[in-house]
Amino acid sequence: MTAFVGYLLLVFALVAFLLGITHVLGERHRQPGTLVPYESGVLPTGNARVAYPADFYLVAMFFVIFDASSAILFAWAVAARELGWAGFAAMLAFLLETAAALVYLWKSGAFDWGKRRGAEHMKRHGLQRPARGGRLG
Amino acid sequence: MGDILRELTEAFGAERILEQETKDGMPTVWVAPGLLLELLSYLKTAPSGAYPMLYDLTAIDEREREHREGQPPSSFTLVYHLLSFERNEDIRIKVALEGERPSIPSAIGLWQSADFYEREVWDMFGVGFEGRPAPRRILMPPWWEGHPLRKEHPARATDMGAFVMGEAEKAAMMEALRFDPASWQVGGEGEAGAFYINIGPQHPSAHGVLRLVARLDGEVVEDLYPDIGYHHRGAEKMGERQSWHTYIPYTDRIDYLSGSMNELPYLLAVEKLAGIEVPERAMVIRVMMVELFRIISHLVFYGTFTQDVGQMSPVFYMFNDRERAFDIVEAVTGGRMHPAWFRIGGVAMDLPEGWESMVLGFVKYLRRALKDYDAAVMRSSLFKARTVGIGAISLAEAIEWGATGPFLRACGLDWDLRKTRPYGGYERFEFEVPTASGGDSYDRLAIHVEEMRQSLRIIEQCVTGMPTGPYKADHPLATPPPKERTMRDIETLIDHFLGVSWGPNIPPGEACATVEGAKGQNSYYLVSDGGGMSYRTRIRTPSFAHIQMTPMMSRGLTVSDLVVILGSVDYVLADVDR
Amino acid sequence: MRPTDPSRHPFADIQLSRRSDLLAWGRSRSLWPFNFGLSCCYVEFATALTSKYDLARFGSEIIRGSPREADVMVVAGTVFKKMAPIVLHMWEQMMEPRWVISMGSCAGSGGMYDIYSVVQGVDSFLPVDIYVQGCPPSPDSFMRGLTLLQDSVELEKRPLSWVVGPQGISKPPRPSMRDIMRDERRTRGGLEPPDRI
Repeated sequence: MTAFVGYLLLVFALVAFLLGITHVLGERHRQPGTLVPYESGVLPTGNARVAYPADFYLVAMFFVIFDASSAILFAWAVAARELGWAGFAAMLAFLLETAAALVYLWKSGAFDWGKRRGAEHMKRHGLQRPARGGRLG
Repeated sequence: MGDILRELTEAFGAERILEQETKDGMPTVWVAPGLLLELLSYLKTAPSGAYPMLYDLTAIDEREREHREGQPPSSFTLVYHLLSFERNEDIRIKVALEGERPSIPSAIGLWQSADFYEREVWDMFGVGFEGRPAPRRILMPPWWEGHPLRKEHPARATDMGAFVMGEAEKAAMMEALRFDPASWQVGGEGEAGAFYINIGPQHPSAHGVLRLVARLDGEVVEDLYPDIGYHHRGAEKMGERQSWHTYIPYTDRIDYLSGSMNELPYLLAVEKLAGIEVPERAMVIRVMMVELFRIISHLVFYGTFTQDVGQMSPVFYMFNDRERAFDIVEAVTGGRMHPAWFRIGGVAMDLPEGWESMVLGFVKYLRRALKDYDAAVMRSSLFKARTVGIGAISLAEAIEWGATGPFLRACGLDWDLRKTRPYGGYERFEFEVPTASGGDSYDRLAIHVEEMRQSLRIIEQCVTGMPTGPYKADHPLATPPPKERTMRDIETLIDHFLGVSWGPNIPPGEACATVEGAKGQNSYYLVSDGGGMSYRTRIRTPSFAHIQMTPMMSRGLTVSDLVVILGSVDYVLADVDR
Repeated sequence: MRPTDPSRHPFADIQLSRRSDLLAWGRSRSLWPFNFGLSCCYVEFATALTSKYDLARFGSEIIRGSPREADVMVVAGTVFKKMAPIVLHMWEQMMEPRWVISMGSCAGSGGMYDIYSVVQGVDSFLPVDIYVQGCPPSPDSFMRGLTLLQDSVELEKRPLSWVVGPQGISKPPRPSMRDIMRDERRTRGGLEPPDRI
């Protein structure tokens, strides 16, 4: 118990030290442009609190899901020897199910970032893209 | 030349069309402002040979000009330059406007590409345009007062007082530069949740100080508003203050990747005005240097384009190849990027001994290197996946918006001025002109690569077929005159003294010379009033027209596609803003 | 790159009598340039980063796109009046320590563009550390400028903290290289004629 508390205090002390020392070290300056968000050298227009399209949310969710799968993999890997072949079979089943989900998402176009929406945008505005042509003629 | 003029006088009546003779033989007519749009629309779709492209739209401030024989009185002359592929001819339409702040009907209904040009005329001359939203400044900053190309506007910065930028001034300027959808007259403002982002003027992918304001829907570009003028160096006004000879270094810096290729159209126009015939050896030397610079410019395009797509290594190889080419340029001219080596009447000096082996060695090396790059870039499936079909335009759109050069050839039109209107000695060389049919980014790159190979062919022919003879014309206006005879007779000494100190006095007249530059067609339209300086230097650059096309090419594509498209357009900011 | 005779080093007298600070040495060997190019000089700057000249071996390994992360702002090219507030804005957004190299004639004094739209020298609104001359300066000249900046940075004294300790930056004097190299230049003779390679 005491080891744990000691460890906790050490962690807090380290974090406080790092934050504190980066706060006081170095030089500071405050000029009119310093705190303005950088946007290629000019002032930004509007704010960034706009409705983002769902594509961004989808990508984040996919990451969480598949990343969580790999976290489970690590947990299994630590105890792989003890769990034996039964554990291996269970893990394999889990991975195949996740892979099936991945293939389904892939085929249904969830990863077509931008292109599908780009095509919808073109249709909505009645824009035409000319036919793709061949190579050097 | 007689055809179109006869047609126009038949169609409109001889009293409404006034002809003007110019030193370059281009049909030039004067019309009244009321007839302008009718004439332009007639020419755009003329059944006997249409002029589908608005090549240039500019103005001349005539108020201080003396030699205007045969021309109607005018304070400001608007010049419309149209191009016809069928007839292989251009026509220049001039409109005389009187008064200090005249205005004229806008041509934007006929050609949407007239937008940028009209804004430039408004910005530079103060000539208004009716029938369109009031033009906003394009090259000068929004807080600028006055119109720079007018004769009363000071040319030098030192005539205008010191540039002071304290905190308050800087805050005001930054606020003026902020994008505001309402005052920039763009559609779609007021749409709730419209998200605007500035790409540039400082951005690695903008290839210079170009500012694009993109309206994004997530990652997809809904609309794009280019804002140029951050690279305006006043080259056209500088021409009015430099002698014909001392202006040559300024031309070098217009398309700064192409060095001596910019000097050629300027000097061709001056030589037309002066009536100088350049000797053969000088012509072939010029062609060789121009093609070498075409390769140099295309190597930068190739390298930066592949870097924009994401390949990190090829750019290093291409810049290294560029160094080999610069070794040749440095040995011949003494300079690297801006040699300022061509002269009125020829070139500055003869080629050094030993140049043949150097040039042939480079040709052999680059042929092998281009094969390697083909394998690394052109055949890479990842590269193709990112560039094929991206930024595709049709031939009709390209002509409508004034695209020239590799841009136009990528859409399928076999139009290269070196073949259709040979200039400067190109008719004696054997080479092919590559075309493609897709009009997308991959095709544009493929054409650039093939053009490099053809330039190597031309350079080889220059080496094997270099004629002997003088490197500069024996003409009193060739500047500076060859030194050899100066020490022997007084006439040449006087000419030489005046030519070097004052500069040549080019006889009055107007001439336009166009070359097939690395990025497209580059024209210099010079108006001489008989003095030692140009009265009006108009530089028509290809990149100005191409930047206008970027919104059309990138709507509906993602930001990463926009970067690919910008890379494939092959523009240089000094070419856009001069 | 550096003159081999230490007595001709611009900071010779200072260097022999002061030990350079370890931090200053570290800063000087890791100057990361800001990806900021205005004009034709930027192409020569970019060429200096490619393999023939390779600025990375001088510590300029990464060229940063955002001013927040960059150390050196290389004003490469003509400073236009429309662009001047933006240049100043981005310099204000750079974090200390920061330096400015003015590359090319246009940035130094307006160059050959004494014209209505060009600021006659970036030093009218930015403090410049090193001026590199040329139109455009060849990559070798730019490398020389960078190494001069490195030598100068090595001798700077900067405050360790903005809270405690002495404040204020002390930079070494920067004499003109024209004066220092004058004697060597005068001994040069027998330049190669231009009519042979």
